[in-house]
Amino acid sequence: MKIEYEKCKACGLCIPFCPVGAIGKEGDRVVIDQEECVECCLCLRNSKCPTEALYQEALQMPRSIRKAFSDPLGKHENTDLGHLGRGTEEVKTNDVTGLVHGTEYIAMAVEPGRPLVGARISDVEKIAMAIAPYVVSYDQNNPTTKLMIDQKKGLFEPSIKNEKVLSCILEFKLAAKDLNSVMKAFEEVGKEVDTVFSVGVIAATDEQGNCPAEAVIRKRGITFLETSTKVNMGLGKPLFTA
Amino acid sequence: MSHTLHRIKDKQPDADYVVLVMPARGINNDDVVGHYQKYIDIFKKYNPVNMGGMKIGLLLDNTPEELKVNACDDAPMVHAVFRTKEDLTGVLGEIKDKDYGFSVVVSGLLDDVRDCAEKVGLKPHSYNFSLGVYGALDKLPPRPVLEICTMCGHAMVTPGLVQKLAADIRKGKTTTEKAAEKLTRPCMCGIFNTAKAKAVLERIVESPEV
Ligand code: SF4
Ligand code: SF4
Repeated sequence: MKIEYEKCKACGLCIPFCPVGAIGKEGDRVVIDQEECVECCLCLRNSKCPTEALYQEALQMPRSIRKAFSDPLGKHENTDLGHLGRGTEEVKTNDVTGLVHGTEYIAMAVEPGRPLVGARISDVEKIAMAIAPYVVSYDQNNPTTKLMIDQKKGLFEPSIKNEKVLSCILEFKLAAKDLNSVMKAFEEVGKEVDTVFSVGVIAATDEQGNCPAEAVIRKRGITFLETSTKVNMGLGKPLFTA
Repeated sequence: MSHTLHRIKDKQPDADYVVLVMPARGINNDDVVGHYQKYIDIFKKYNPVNMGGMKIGLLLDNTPEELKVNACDDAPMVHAVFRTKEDLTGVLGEIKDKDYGFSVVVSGLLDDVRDCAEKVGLKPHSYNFSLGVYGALDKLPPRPVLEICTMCGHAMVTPGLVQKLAADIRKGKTTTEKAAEKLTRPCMCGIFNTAKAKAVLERIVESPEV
């Protein structure tokens, strides 16, 4: 995002709308730190700039990655997916797609940058490398997967590593038996990254309605009272059964 | 994306339940618009505090009838936010009875959602559990601010805006109602809980450290 300085009155109205604190005062000017800006368009859309001084140039690769992952209306034109959004339908339609069924495998969605911090692709890579031993397969419809050059090792294209996004999602399948180990890996890599990441586990119930993954998570001290859980009610048709 | 997951919770009763309805593209996405309209007709009977979806609009600025007119094929899903377990139970019961066939997911505190599902005889198919946040936690804003901001999973509701509005309320320049409405608009999916935001803002305004 850029500011047309001939128009800007330095009123500061746009400052609170930036989720990553990229807009600030510098002397008597209001400026955008281009290194930190994730091109989410929030300032442009919500601040009602009185002089229409904010504008976004057509973005080229690799900078266009920022917008694709940060602006909910930004399309992933840099990958062959071209769709809206950072992830896939995941658990939302799992009753119909059967993406995760049975209790042998589970899926995970690890979201570097969330909440409200933003992440460089270099940190996304650190997390992807830490979980690499446990990943069975990445979701091929996910735009973050499309940015990887080596899914087995969790490596990304070097030219994009400095790009910063509001968040992106590593979406993958793993064996349920590895859940405890991968949670430990998150704790370790968490000490190395200069960002935060939110983690979600997608797990199906068995025929009795039990979900073994839940017990593993509870054992690591997570009570499900601090954050919301998403529950798929099994009402989609045709219903995918194990 | 998992835009209704990871909503930071504080107190019980939590009073924040999101129901989302979604077709599985390429499998059961016949008459998406007609289906969305039927689900909106159910939602509106159970006191939603917000409702709508990306490309559809928000209840704050549209009547349920207008949302039905705005429903379009390329809106990925339709949502509604409820305040009580009674309303959530009611909406789930009616959705189950009508059986229109799109996938239905509820986001909320696990035990609460399970309770409501059980009451209407629904057996969950799968879960998306939140393991919370890892990494450089010192970069996060204070917890009550997070409670508000994480209601928009796309991070469109910013800590800076919450803090500015809290300061404006303290100075008497705005009210908690108006501030909560202002915070609702940037979240384009209609999953932001305006009533909860108002309640949390009241707490923030009273605590000098936030
Ligand atoms: S809102 Fe517009 S005029 Fe005001 S500081 Fe931002 S860019 Fe400048
Ligand atoms: S586009 Fe987004 S990140 Fe960039 S300055 Fe505007 S609000 Fe901040």
